[in-house]
Amino acid sequence: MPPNDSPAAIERTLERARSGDSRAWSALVEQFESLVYSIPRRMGLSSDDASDVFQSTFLALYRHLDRIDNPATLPKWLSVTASRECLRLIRTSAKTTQLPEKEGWTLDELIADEDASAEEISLIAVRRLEVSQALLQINERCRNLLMLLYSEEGKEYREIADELSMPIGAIGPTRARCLEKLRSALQKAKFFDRD
Amino acid sequence: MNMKKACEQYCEGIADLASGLSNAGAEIHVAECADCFALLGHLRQTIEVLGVAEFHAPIDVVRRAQGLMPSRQPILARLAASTLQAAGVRAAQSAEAFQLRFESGDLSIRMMYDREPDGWTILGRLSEVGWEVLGPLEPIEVAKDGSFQFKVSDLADSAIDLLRGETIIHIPSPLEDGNAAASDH
Repeated sequence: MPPNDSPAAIERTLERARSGDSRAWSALVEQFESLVYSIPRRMGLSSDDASDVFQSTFLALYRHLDRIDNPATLPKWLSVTASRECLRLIRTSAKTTQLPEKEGWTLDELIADEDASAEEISLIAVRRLEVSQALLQINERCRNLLMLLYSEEGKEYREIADELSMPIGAIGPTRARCLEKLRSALQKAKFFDRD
Repeated sequence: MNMKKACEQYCEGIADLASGLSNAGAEIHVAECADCFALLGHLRQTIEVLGVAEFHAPIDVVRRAQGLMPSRQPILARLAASTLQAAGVRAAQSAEAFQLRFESGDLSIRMMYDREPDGWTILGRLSEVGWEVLGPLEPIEVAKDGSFQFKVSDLADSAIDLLRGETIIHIPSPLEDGNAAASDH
């Protein structure tokens, strides 16, 4: 069964974690591991650096569990924290505080730029999480088809047909139906309302 | 967004367009139909986000983060009494209704298991107030008198945890640890 990601369920898990329930804490880490770990990996950081970002982000959450007032904002809080940590790591490893194109910028401008970058990175991460959650609402065959078609390393129809034991001619109509199911699940989650 | 009957024939074509393929018929229709134009926009957004790679943290990395909070070991409640006549796990599986009573320190927990066509209804009663009951999937509401109720499709999934402050008490399912083998009281 997929994890219950409603704000009410997250709030209950947060509440238990705040009271020191380690199983609730473990559940939180497990629920959001991909959200957090994907951010440094998408930014091209190595698996070692991504692991450091992962630890720092969850350490920050552990220390600030009491500060998450609105459970609905937890995915965003985690992704902004991870994004900032990535930017800090990139800056530190480059042993410079600014890139050539930012020469002459004031400290305020640099901070604002980093804030905007973290915000942008986290927005993508949160939207990807929402799509992942919506994928869990549709049937497995549709989920597999859409992932094979549209994931980063999108496959050819022939490969997909072999993998799913499906006639090539059925891929087009099935794809349309599966996309509609996913769109419908996303619409219920108000995914398109924030445009 | 409700799709009109006339639009339904273009579903596949609109999915083609959203996927970056050409489809002349769908293209003409989308230019004239506001609903399908919006649908195409939604599908494009969906496909764009689906293309964003997802990575999973290695298990040791996840475990390290989970270890940030020291674990508290649950206390296993002791089975004090059972109405099951026959010994063994099969007794609980074949019974229509039975009761178990657990104890942990001063706390006594009475559990009544009733078979239903689609699973089991379980009624519980705590001798003390102030305990939170965590069911197989989520917390269970506890009434002021300490009673609570939940349903499971499989008796093996009926274990619960009781939480109060730093204490966690585990109430096993009747099929765990030879509970069903308890003698009649």
